[in-house]
Amino acid sequence: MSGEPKRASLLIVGSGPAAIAAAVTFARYADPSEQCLVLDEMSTSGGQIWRSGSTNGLAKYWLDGMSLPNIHRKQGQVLDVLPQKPGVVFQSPNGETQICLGNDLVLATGARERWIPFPGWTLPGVVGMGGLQAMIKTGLCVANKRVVIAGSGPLMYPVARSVQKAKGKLLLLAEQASFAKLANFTAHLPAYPEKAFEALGYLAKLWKVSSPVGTWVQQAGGEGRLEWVQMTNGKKSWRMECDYLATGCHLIPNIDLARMAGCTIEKDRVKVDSLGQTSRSHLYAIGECTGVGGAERAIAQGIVAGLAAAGQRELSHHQSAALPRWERFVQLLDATFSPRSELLDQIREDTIVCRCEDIPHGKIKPMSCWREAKLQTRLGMGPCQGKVCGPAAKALYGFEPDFPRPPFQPLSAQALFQMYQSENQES
Amino acid sequence: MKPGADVLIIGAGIVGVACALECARVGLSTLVVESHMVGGGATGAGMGHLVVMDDSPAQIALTQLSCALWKELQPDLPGSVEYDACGTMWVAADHEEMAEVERKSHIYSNAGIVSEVVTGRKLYEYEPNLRPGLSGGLRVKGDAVIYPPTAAAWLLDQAIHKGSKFQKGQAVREVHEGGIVVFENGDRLCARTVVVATGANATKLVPGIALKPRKGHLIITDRYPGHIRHQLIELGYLKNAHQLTQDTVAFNVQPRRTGQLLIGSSRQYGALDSRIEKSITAKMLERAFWYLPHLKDLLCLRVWTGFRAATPDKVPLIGPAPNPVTGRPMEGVWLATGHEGLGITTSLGTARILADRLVGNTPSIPWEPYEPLRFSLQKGPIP
Ligand SMILES: Cc1cc2nc3c(=O)[nH]c(=O)nc-3n(C[C@H](O)[C@@H](O)[C@H](O)COP(=O)(O)OP(=O)(O)OC[C@H]3O[C@@H](n4cnc5c(N)ncnc54)[C@H](O)[C@@H]3O)c2cc1C
Ligand SMILES: Cc1cc2nc3c(=O)[nH]c(=O)nc-3n(C[C@H](O)[C@H](O)[C@H](O)COP(=O)(O)OP(=O)(O)OC[C@H]3O[C@@H](n4cnc5c(N)ncnc54)[C@H](O)[C@@H]3O)c2cc1C
Repeated sequence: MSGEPKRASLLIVGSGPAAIAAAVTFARYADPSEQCLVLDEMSTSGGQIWRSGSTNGLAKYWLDGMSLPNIHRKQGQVLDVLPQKPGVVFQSPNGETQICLGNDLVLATGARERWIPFPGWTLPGVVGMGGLQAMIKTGLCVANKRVVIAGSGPLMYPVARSVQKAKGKLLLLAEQASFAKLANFTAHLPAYPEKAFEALGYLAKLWKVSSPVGTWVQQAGGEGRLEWVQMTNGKKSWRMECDYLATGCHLIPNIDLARMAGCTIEKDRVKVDSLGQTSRSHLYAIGECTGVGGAERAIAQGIVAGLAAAGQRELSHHQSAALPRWERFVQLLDATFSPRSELLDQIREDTIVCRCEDIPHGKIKPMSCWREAKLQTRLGMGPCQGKVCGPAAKALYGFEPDFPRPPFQPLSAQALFQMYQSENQES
Repeated sequence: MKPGADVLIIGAGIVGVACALECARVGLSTLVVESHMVGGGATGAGMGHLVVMDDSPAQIALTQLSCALWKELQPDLPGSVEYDACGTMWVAADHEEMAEVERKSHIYSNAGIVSEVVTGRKLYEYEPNLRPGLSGGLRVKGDAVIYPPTAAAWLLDQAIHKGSKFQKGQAVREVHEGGIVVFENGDRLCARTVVVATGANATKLVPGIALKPRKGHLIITDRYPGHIRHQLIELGYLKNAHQLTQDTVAFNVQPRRTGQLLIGSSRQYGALDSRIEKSITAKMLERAFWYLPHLKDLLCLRVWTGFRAATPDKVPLIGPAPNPVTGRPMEGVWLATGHEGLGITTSLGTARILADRLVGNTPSIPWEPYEPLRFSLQKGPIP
């Protein structure tokens, strides 16, 4: 453990658009003597969306702001949120753990992909959409490889562009949401011109790709590796040979730290007031952990929280007028891209639900709740501790997963020891 | 009210379901009622070490009988119970503890239990990851490890197969003389004998019994097959476990069939919520690191707590319950609880004694040491 706690006026967990907007706004509006500390696992700022190479003007504006002198960034993992005061236990990549304290703490922990298991989803070659994007970025060669993208939500389009740019053969871009739902979504889009423009931008680049709606993966197959996918639109099914299938059913807020911290959760999102304040004082939540609504909303929330933390209450209130519109957008996204019931019905007895422990649907089906399934079948007991299978089990069986607690990721016994010890000293 | 069954067992922890199977086996009509799920209480939190313990003659007798019963069942146990005859290695850190090894081996051999005194290099042949410089240990080959929640589910299945009934979803609110139980929703049932097998919760239904919850912490790692081969326990464990008032930690690490390591153990009185306690967990890890230095690098997945139901003499309560007011036996109400850190092991012995006594057979070991009235009779009526 490295000695004294690290102190800052504002402590931010995450460095995606929401976190960056909060940090930069705080740095501009707070007294210059006040410091902001940003903690993120990744080596570079930008979060899910900006890290993967999107360098539009908006991204550049905010990313440049991160070099302001009173913003400090540390790479590493947040292991726990302190129960009594705004602070966290933090572990650097070299294994050192440290307490970080702030006058205010902002959680901007983003979202993760939702998987609904289907027969064959565990075959090598079947990847998450964010996963494929990250793999391409870190050197996976998809040039001339046949790629099918099938899932749900706006995330599919940037992923499709990444595949195109990397010269992959994009065979299909299939959205599971129905035509009626998408028509309703499109009808509302003019109220979000920034989103409408973004959509048009993708359309201009992707118009040649076959992009059916109301279409989803029924099954993936192959000998030891993905060789084909079976698609369906409910009326007919067909097989396509391919090398990669990128899939995922929209996103779900990552609320583990907030729940652990004791913040009120509503409908699987962190509940916040108009300034981004959670139910716990001096603790804010912004961005996708409060609902999946895209980068523009995350930035708007970041500005509001950054101003509030800088003591600019009036400005903050003023800026918060922009948020209700985005709240409606979150609801629109949720309603449009929620999984259709067919996705839940096509699972088979032998379809794996928990990938860490290899637990098939047939074993879990008779269980009455998450805890019983966990104790009797080992569902969710592996390294991911239910991060992947938890949302799937909720969709499939209505199980409410465990209350999260550290370790949130597999953690060496030494680091766990240090975490407990430093928290013990701090309290 | 007319009895609806010979035996009504409250609680589907490992003790309750073991009792159900034994009662059904001797021909009693049996009903198990459970508020939540089978094996979801202490049974879903404990280590599952099947171990002969030599704390007192009564403890040796019960653990030895129970381990023998587990061995009998073993061929029938499904794979999900993860039975693993890994044995126990009691680790002696120094010469003083080596003397304890000799004493312990003597007690075991008098009881007819095979053990092996291990010294010097031999210890590291068995357990290469132990820290250098330890004196030796006592290896008890017959001990084993199981996964308790699925063992409980299997025992319940066997009981149901033999005619026992199972009902879940309603908690019992009260238990009355005459074998009457009242559920949270007001429903009532009556049986010739009601067996309270609700673990550390038993004082809620039968106030005043000599039972206290004793909290324990456990940590599970990712899979590292072969890192250790026996359940490893420090000999200082006995000194620690004896402490009835202080919070204690001891080195107690278990190899699971999955290749995982289960790291224990702590004992606390007076801690009533299931929160992870940072100082205790840190101490427990520190102790484990001292014995197994490479443990530091292994990845941990989850930490949890559980409650043991502890009695003053560390021997369970099996038999008629004392009336909270008079201290005299309650008519038609029995206890099967108080198994502290040994209930997975002693569930089977407990069930055998209970069923034998209910039908008037003489149990194969003396039953008097487990008689719940031993405390109330000494003290007189409980105020
Ligand atoms: C031998 C063995 C091996 C295991 N291996 C693994 C493994 O590999 N991976 C793994 O993840 N787990 C493992 N477990 C642990 C297992 O997940 C749980 O069995 C353990 O009991 C802790 O419970 P929990 O963490 O699931 O739930 P907890 O969060 O501890 O909660 C347990 C229950 O208690 C309730 N509860 C919590 N707090 C309170 C309160 N204050 N008041 C009232 N009720 C409360 C909850 O609602 C829940 O129903 C293993 C367990 C055993 C026995
Ligand atoms: C950390 C730890 C480590 C341990 N390690 C070991 C070990 O290595 N070896 C070993 O042999 N033992 C071990 N034990 C001890 C063992 O786990 C317990 O002794 C055993 O599980 C007790 O079982 P039980 O059936 O009495 O209680 P429980 O498993 O707690 O079962 C009681 C049941 O009653 C139900 N219930 C409670 N109240 C009501 C009500 N009012 N109405 C209806 N139902 C109710 C509960 O839901 C529960 O299912 C350990 C315990 C702990 C905590």
